[in-house]
Amino acid sequence: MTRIELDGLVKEFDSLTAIDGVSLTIEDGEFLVLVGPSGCGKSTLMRTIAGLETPTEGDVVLDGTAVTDWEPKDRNVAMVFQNYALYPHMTARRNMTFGMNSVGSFTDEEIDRRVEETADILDIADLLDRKPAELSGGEKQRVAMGRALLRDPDVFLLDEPLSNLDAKLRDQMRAELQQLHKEIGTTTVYVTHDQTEAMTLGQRVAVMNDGEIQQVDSPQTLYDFPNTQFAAEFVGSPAMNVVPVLVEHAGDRWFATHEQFRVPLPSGEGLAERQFAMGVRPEDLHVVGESQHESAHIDGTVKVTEPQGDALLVHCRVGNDTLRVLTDSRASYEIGDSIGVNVDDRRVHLFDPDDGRTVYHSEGQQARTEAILE
Amino acid sequence: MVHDSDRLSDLLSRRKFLSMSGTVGAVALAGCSSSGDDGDDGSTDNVDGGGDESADTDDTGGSDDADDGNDDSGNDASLSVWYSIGGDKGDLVATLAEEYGEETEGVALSSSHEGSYGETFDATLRGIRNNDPPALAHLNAVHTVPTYNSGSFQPIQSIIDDVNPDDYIGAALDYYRVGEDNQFMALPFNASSPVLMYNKDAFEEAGLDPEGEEYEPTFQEFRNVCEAIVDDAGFDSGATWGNITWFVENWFALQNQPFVNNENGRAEAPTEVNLDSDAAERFYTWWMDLYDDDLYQLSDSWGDARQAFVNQDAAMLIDSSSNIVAQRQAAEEAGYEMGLLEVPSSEETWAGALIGGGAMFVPRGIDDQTARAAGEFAKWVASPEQQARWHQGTGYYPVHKDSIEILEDDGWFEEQDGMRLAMDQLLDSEDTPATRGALIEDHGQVRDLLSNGADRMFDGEDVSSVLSDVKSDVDELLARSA
Amino acid sequence: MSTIQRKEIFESKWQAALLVLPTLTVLAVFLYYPFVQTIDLALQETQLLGNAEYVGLSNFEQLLTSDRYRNSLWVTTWFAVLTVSGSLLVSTYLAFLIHETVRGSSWYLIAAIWPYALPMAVAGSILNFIFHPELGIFTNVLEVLFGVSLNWHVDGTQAFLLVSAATIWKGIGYNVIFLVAALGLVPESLDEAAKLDGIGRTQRLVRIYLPLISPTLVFLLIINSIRSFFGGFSLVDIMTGGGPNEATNLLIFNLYQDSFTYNQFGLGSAQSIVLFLVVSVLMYVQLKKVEKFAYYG
Repeated sequence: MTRIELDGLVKEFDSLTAIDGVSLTIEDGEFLVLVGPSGCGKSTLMRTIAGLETPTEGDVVLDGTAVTDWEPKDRNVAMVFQNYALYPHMTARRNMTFGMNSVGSFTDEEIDRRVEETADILDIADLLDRKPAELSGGEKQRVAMGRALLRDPDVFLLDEPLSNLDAKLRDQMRAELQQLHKEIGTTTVYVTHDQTEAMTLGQRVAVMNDGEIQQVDSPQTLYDFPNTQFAAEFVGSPAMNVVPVLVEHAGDRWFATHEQFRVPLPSGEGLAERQFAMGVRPEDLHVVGESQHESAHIDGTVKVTEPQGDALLVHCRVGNDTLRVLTDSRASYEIGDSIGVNVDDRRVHLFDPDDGRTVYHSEGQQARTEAILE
Repeated sequence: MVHDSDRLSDLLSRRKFLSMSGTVGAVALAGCSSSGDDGDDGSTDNVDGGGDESADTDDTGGSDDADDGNDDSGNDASLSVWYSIGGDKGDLVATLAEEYGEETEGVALSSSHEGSYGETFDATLRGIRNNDPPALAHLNAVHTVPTYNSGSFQPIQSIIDDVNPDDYIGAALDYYRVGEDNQFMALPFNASSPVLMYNKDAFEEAGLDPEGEEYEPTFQEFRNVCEAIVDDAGFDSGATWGNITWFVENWFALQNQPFVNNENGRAEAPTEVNLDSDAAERFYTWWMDLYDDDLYQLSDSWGDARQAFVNQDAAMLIDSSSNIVAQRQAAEEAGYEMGLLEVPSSEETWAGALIGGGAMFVPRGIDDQTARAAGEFAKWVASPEQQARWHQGTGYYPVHKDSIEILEDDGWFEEQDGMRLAMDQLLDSEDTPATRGALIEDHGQVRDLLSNGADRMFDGEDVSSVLSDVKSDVDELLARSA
Repeated sequence: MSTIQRKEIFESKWQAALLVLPTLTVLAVFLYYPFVQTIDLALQETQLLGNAEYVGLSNFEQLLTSDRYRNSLWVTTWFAVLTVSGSLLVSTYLAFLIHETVRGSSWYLIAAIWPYALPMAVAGSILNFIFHPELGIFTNVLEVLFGVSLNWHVDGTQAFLLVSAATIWKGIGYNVIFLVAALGLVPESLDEAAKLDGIGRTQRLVRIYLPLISPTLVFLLIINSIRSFFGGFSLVDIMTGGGPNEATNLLIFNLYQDSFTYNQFGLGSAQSIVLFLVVSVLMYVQLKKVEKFAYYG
């Protein structure tokens, strides 16, 4: 069981900086998801932990020992690759045992026993004598997992392990992974570009962009209190609406004023009168009935509707901006309809338009702290 | 292999072969479509038929050299000469040909260097096959029998019947005599024999007479000299020469032992090589003992041996007399003085040196006028004046007796220390079947078998058992071609 | 469907034949005709000027009973075994080193390829010079470092080994080009997975890379084998002339010598046919047997 500390990691490839000063601690037994768009440096960060890349600066510390210059094999780290990296000329069993046989620190009986156990856990006992070409994507996935598990590693690294599977299988494997982690409790780092996967899997989720970690928090905190505009927009589907507003102070009240509407803010903590980017999630916008139309915050025109099954996503034009609003799935709107939209003013976020940092959550700092403590 | 091959042109011909072996070897592997082209054989400068362009020569120049036997012809004879010597010596051949062409009326002469002797021979054979032979082919002494047996060459004696054979140095001319009527197939042009070159400075350091006046040309004496040079002059070895069978044949001649039976193949085709003779045993044993005792340095080729001599790894070099002039110059540049001595032999007998080198052959298939013109040119280059000049430029012996007088008048022999001695080896040679040299159909192949045999001896195999192995191989070969 | 279409491409057989004609002509003129002629020549005893008489199989009989030819067969067999295995081993290892190199690998690749680009004649002459038993610049180095005294103008084994080594050296470039490309096609993640598994370099080369590039290795095995039978000529000719005492007398050199030096075209043609048969059988065996070990994804 291992605690991973990353201390000021920088990785440069010629002119490109893939990791730009990452410090992060992953607790013993934790399941941490690294999420970010492609090219954000998340895979490089994982490969640096594995020892497949050597950082330009900074240290990788496993259980208090700096292992930055250690060979991959000396770190007792297991990795599952996106393409599974199964040896195509070996059977599933050989794939799993190859490393153990070569290293030679296990007896044959021990290896056999562990293969049986692992195959049972992963339900691949029937597949052991097949070669990768004879396995389906999900089966390959399990064998690759089995290979990683078999060695009883201190750290489990999963690099987009589900991205080559179809949607149904992906859901199933996701649940199995969680179950597996519960059973074995090994410290796990999981890299994905899929924020849904990140939210459902992680105990904590680290959002990366441009080589930097934007935020590390539990999924719910990340969702409710994003640290940056990037995190706010990246997490959640459909994505958060962000529109430019001018914050004004009128009387003892604060308002976020858009060219088309004005939203009152619960408090003025940390605010100043200037331009901000206002973020509000589609589910925090509500379409009001015909009768209440007059009292609505926002007047909009329906531009596009996207049925989602459990809800209907309405794109409505407000001035020069477009807001995505989640409504009742049974509602029917025609393109061009004029609708009124209310903003849940407890769920408004304000971002600094210059550096993208979050300045204000309308639910307040207090609530955020509580959320973290939960 | 034929003696004195020109390395570069050798390589070039191998390139030609490579493109050919593409077809022969890979032919049915179907993929390679390279082809050997026989097309460029005869495409050298020879013009067919009586060219109507006259060579517009002015006859103010001396027409004195050549006997003007073909003045009566109306048209110019188109005369193509293919020769086999490259480098500086080859340039001299070209110059001679050019001069002759200019000063001789009625002849349009073109000359071209076809490569080594073997390559010129091949090219000539192809020319004959394609009915486009040269008028004159400059071939090696060992080509005498093949040219005679092929029936595609005319004995030059039948063309130039006005010459007196006695005018030529016997040893040089006699090699080319073949057949029942003992006619000479070709007129010698460049004659050489093996000579011993030595480093005078080394002799002095070793406490020997630097002028070599005390030196006796015997096997034992030679060995003593080698020992003195290695022990007292600090040389790696006493002597060097290439594993070249021509030298071995020379040692047969020196000991008056015919190389093959049937009077050295001159009475009829030989059936046995005389490797079981005492002369062979004596020579090979002496040679291998020198090698085993580090007195002799084995050289892989002519060039290697010369290099070792110039580098002063060895103080004596056995080489062709044709190389004397060049070698003396190289020695001078290396900072020592070179002298000439006689090649050693056994004490029992001394018969004379073996001739090597080349001669002018006339193919059949050319008209009589051209053949006559070819004969005249061959006579001209073998004339006293030209041979004296040729000798001075290269070191090849003159083949005409009167050249010697010219050279003497010129003070040449005082200038060229030891040259006279070297030449005397040839002039003093007895005319015996042994000194005339062997006539063998597959002479080149026989030579290769012998040099392979010597390799085995150098590698430590017993001399007499190798000799008997090689003898049976050679005899088998002789039987096949007989 | 496709068969119907194929039939409709050409209006008549004649049109099809016309289109194949140029290729057929080239093949016939430059391959089939010379091959038939070679067979014809092999049945004759030729004289200098192409006068020849038919002698049945006596050329072949002469070959079978000739010590020289048997020795040549033997020498060629060893030469093929040594150069093919040596060349593949060295090239594979070099290619692996180049593959592993992150920086400047293209320079190493060029360095490995250039001997291949060097003309054989030039390479042979240079090797002659630097390994000359008396004058060579490497000769002393070898003697001082390894106590090996070069004597290959006399010692047949040394000459054979030197020519073999030179052939291996000459052939490396060609193999390395293919092998580096093949290694590049092996997914990097396999190598990384193995590294994480704690598998050492040699094991990775032998157990992961080699099986995965085996199709390329089989291809190179066949090409190298063909080359070892037909290609050793230049170096032998320039460096040893088949000697000393025929220790480097490869079949192809023997063929050349008999045909072109000794003017025995009939005998040479017979050898060319024997060589062709030997190589054909070898190719058949290699394709049938070794191919099984190749792993094609």
